[in-house]
Amino acid sequence: MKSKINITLFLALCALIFTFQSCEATAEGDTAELEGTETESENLDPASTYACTITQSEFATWFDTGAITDGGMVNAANSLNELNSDCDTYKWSWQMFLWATSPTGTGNGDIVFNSDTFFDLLEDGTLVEEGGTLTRTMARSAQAGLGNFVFMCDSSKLTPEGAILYYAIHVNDVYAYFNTGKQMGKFTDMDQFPTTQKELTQIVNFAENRFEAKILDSLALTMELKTSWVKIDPNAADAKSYITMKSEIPKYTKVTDQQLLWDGISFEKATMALVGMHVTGSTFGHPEMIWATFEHKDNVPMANYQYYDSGDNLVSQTNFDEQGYLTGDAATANWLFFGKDANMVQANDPRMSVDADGNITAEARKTIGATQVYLTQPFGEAMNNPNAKTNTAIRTINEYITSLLADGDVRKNYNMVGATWTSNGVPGLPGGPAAIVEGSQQLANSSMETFFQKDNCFSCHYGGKLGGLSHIWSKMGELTEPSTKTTPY
Amino acid sequence: MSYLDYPRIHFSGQFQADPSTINNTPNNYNPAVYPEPNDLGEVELYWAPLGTSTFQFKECVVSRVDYSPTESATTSQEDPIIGQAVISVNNGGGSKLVGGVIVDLDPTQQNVSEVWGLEVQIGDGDTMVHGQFTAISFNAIWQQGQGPTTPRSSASGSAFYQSQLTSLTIDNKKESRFLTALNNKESLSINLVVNAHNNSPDTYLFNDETMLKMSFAGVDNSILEKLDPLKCMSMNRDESGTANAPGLIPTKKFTDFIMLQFISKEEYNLSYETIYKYATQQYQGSTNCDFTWGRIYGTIGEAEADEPSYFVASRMMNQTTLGVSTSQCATTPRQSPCYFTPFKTEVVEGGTAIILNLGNSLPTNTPDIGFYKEVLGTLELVALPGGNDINNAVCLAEINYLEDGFMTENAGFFTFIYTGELDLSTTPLGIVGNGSGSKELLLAEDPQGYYLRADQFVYRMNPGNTDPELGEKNTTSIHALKFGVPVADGTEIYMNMMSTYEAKKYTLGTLGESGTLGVENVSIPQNALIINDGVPVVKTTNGVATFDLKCTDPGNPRDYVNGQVYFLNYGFNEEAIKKDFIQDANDIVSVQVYDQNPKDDSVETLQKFGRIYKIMNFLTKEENIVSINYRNLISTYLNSPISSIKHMPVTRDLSLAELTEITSFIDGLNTPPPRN
Repeated sequence: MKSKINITLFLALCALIFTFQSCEATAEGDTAELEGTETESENLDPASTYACTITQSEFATWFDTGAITDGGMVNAANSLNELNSDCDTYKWSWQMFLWATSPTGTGNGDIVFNSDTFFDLLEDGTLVEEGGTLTRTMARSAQAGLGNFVFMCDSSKLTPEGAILYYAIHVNDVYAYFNTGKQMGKFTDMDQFPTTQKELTQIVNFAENRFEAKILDSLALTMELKTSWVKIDPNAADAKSYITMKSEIPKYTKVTDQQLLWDGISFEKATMALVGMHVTGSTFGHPEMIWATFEHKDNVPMANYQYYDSGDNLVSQTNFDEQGYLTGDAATANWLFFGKDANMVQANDPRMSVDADGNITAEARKTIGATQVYLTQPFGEAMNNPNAKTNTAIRTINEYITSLLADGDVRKNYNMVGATWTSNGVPGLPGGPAAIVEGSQQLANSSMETFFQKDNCFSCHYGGKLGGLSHIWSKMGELTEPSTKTTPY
Repeated sequence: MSYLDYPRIHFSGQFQADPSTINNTPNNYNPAVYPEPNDLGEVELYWAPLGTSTFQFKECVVSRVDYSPTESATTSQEDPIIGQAVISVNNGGGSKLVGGVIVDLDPTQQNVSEVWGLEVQIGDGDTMVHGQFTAISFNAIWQQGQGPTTPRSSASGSAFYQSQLTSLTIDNKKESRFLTALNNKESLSINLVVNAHNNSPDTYLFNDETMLKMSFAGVDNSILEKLDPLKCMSMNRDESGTANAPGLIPTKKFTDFIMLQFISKEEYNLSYETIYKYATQQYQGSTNCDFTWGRIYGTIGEAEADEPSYFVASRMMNQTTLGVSTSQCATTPRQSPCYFTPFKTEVVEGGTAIILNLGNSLPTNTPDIGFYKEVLGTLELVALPGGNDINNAVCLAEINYLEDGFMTENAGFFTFIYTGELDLSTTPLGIVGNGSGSKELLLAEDPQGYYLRADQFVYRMNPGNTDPELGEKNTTSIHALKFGVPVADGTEIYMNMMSTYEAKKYTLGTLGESGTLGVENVSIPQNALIINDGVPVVKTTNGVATFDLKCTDPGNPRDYVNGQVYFLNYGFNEEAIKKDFIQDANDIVSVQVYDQNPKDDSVETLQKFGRIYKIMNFLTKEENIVSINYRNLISTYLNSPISSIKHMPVTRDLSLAELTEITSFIDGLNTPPPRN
């Protein structure tokens, strides 16, 4: 993507955008009219050459009403459109996150990723639609990872006791019907995720003709979400800053300090807070998909990093002092996964893992308990090869969007860690071509790749254009019953 | 009870053994052969330098249940367990697509490849049986492919894993008669015959000729110059150290990996199509299976807690000698084309059932094309009341080894009910074939019915450590039988250590080790492992002779390879027994004795593994080892129990002393400084 835009043209476009933004704000005055955004916008730092910004008017077009409203429905990005810059890709990622987390307005507590547009993927490959609640979340189900480690946090501000992190996987209807069609021998001319109208039409027609199903938001193309959750006390003071849902979770029995047992059948209903989300989807020119990830802003501190300020001066963001303790604003924050007195050398240490039966066992020499976690690669950039430009771009788009979101919108509390894709449109494939990774080079979500932060998404998601790329591709069962999804939200 | 008893199931399909092969020679442990971690011009790559160590099943399906000698099921209507998938899983990894890992004991003992961390599950929808496979090496490896064109490698080999499934979960909601008959057993006996393993990789040639073609075809010369080191790499070398086929690189996966060590991804993408067009060599697999895959034939039956875990206390038909072969150079014994065959007899209503497991016994011409009928001819199961005198052999039954499904449905089992007068419980049995043109006794039980085997036969020992499994003391149990029942108390069993000469000769004569360079200084010093306090003979009690093993520090006799390997022979001591007794040459005990003190510091030790195991190439960089993104994972894996899939194969060559040193090193990195 970087190679597709002339930098001079890019700067010129930026200038045009800023000019247009200024004129439009003056003419319509919508910035000033939006409650809570004016003050925050004044503090923004839009002038860095490397910033990724969005105007209020552009942002408003993401909403289905054309206005930024608290909890407003955001439309899916049109993934058939070409993304012409890194910033476009970050915006696509943000729009998809906001869309996926938009309340559907149906009155039953649905948000889009848990509505008729998406299916929950269960452990056994079954696809389930269940509005209003997460069907089920499991320890480490979404992020198998080498070792199947379990992550527990000391969420004292959310729950009275340490909490296991749980995971769920969701795919949209385009993904589900495409997968089912492939299993049924359809789409023989498609060996990668759809990126064009022609391919999308085939999938839409297949869903309608074979399953009498109307695909909603088809322009999103194939979307795969992984979500991470922590059980909370819904009455806790901080609970309102999280997107929450009801879910079944395994009911564990503590046997020893080294083992939590699950009988395989007992579940409990719990209120779960969303702490992380991978947003992955195909777009025009990117069948390898764009891999973005979001976290609650209070999850973890980032390691120290650098970015460019409005004068394009390199600024150091110091979250840890030389001894490895939190410092500055990071020391006064109330992190969910990192204690105030914790030290970074003790962090990111896997303490336990879950077995195939769902039992949780401490690793050798360790006990069941919370792990201190921080993001070792801020915005997915390597410490030994920091890219302050990428840091600047992601940091500013986060600032812009969280500022522009209406006060009270719970989505203001989430940030994008980063996004990654390849410039040549392929994941790494056996015998070539190699994936030329763009965007965040070492992207990780503290709640998901907790113990594997060094790698890039494409370090694991490679080796095939479908199954090798998307690890759930070959685990999904076929959709066998006609869907009843005909009611748009 | 065992898999030879009833009830039992058979299954067949394919297995994958994908070991990393750079550790196949002691020479590759020498840091001096790596000017840079990925400068491999002096290294023997062998056939899978980027192997993952995976051991797993695919397309394995239950084909038959035997409830008794006369009752069987072959359809799911008869028993719903028929047709169920048998899949390899592992607990630690959580993925149902992966099984265990396969690990050799040492570069000088590759004939005992163990499978660790494997779990076996029957049923891929509703799990009907799930159990942990107790780690063990294969045994009874022999050259099954015997035709003139069969590969001269382990691809022609066949062997079996004999172990148990423990920590069982059985769900019988499908009402399988087999599962009902198991009656809540706590462990199962499992026998896995493995053969036809395709170890011939796809190859890519980088020499002056192919690279000139690449250049003419448009590959930038600057890229080709960077790839110049590939011209020196090779899979194998001769004894002088000269590369056998310079520039021949195995597997596309490794070729990609090594190219990307020298050129950028952009340069790779610009040139890989042309490079592969001219580098790709014609492929010929050594078997019909895909590369790293082979055939597996399994049998699962009941097991009892007090039984040996790794062999079946049964009777055994031994490989016979069929006269001599004479050539211009030498006169050598002509061995039977068939191999040792476990069996049992059981009195049943109306006669005596004879149950043979021929799954690892009959030769093929080349791997995986059916049995070698031209050599075997008609096979007859015979009684040998007169000992190994074929003239007194009594034909009991013809063996239907050429029938469809003999292996794929029955896993090589043959069952016959004898109704004659002979007392088969004390009459030796054998197999006669006429493939040579006249009848020959191809397999024969010991005339007196004797058979013995060590239960566990692979040990890792650490001097100065008291760990019950891996410490400086252990015991090995030799089970001795006569016609399938324990020998009389007081039967003498000996155990002794192979000398340095014998050890080298033995190991280089095995299918797993033959042709390996750098096998030197084997089993020295001889006094680092003490057998039974120097008392070489032990008398049996209840058919078992137990030998104590105790080790001391071998003192780093192999420099860059940790510790030393010892091979222990054992057998019947009394002349009256051993005069006719034929023992499988595989039946020895292999012991790895590690150095008591680490030779290198923690970083150097881990870097060695980065060089040898290319899937852990990140370990070659010290910055990665100390990085918080890796060090806690390294520590976690290294401290996992040896039975865990996380533990092996990373630490195959590590001593407990090295493990402790690395753990302390990482703990030190994780100790926070005082807060200012």
